[in-house]
Amino acid sequence: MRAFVTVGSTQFDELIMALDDERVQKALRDIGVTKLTVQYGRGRYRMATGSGSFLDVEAYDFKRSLHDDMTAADLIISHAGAGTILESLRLEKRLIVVVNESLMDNHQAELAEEMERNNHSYAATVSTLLDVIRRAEFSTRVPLPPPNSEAVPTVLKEELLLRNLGL
Amino acid sequence: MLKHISASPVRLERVVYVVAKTDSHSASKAANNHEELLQNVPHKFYFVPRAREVGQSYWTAAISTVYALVYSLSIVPRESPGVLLVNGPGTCVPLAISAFLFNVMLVTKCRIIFVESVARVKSLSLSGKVVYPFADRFLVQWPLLSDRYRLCEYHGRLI
Repeated sequence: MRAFVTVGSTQFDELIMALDDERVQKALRDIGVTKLTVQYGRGRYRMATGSGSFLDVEAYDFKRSLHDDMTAADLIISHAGAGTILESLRLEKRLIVVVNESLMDNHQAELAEEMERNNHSYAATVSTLLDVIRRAEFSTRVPLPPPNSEAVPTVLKEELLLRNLGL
Repeated sequence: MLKHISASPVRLERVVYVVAKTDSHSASKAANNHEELLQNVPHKFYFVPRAREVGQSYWTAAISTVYALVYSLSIVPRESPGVLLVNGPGTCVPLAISAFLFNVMLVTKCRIIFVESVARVKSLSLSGKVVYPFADRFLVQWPLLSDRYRLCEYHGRLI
């Protein structure tokens, strides 16, 4: 099984450090992960790569698109950015969202928690990640329903009409 | 969301895209969408300075907001849009404010539609709070927000 860790365009060294921890790598190995790909984003911390005791690790800062690595992964461990969360769930991946608690305005936790509450993915923090990897039951997760593609065009049409009627 | 609009039968005369200078990714996605689905509709791009970068402090954000407001003030009367559809980030605030101001002065007649970020589950974003009092329509993507704020409409997730 392949796992992909992504922080998008953010800096989230605490997450990378957590993944560098042998206990976390062992927990991943225990659920069947053998390959780990890590995207550092703007972070500075560099973890050990190559063949470790539990996992085969490769890492990079950025790629033009993360889509291929997300598609190839069986498990995605992601920062709490809405774009990454939605893309992972659209791809129907097993997903653990790790909230960065050091951010100033931490509303991002809301989305991660809501997705867990709706049984789409799991939410964690750096300190609970190990625990979440151990207790996650991905067979209980349900796919994200598709978005409503009619709403915005309908509202746009209504407003254009109102505007042209001079209301 | 752009895809939804491009793929819908809404007849548009012209589309003006306003994107943040630092967001070339969104611009190229919008350009591709337009090319693919709205070939016959004339379009144009504006690149505005960002009002507030993620993580920027509130004080320096205030200065860059003023700068972005001046830039946006010039776009709205020049293009005189019938509808302004904005999707949340800091860039949209000065645009929405200037559309509102020019509406008040009867220079433009522009309906303002605000779409809150899917990331906002329980509370409105800073942009949302600013635009809320004068938006004609305010769309949110989680039901809790429409319970909490009278003018918020929830029609399911939009992206």
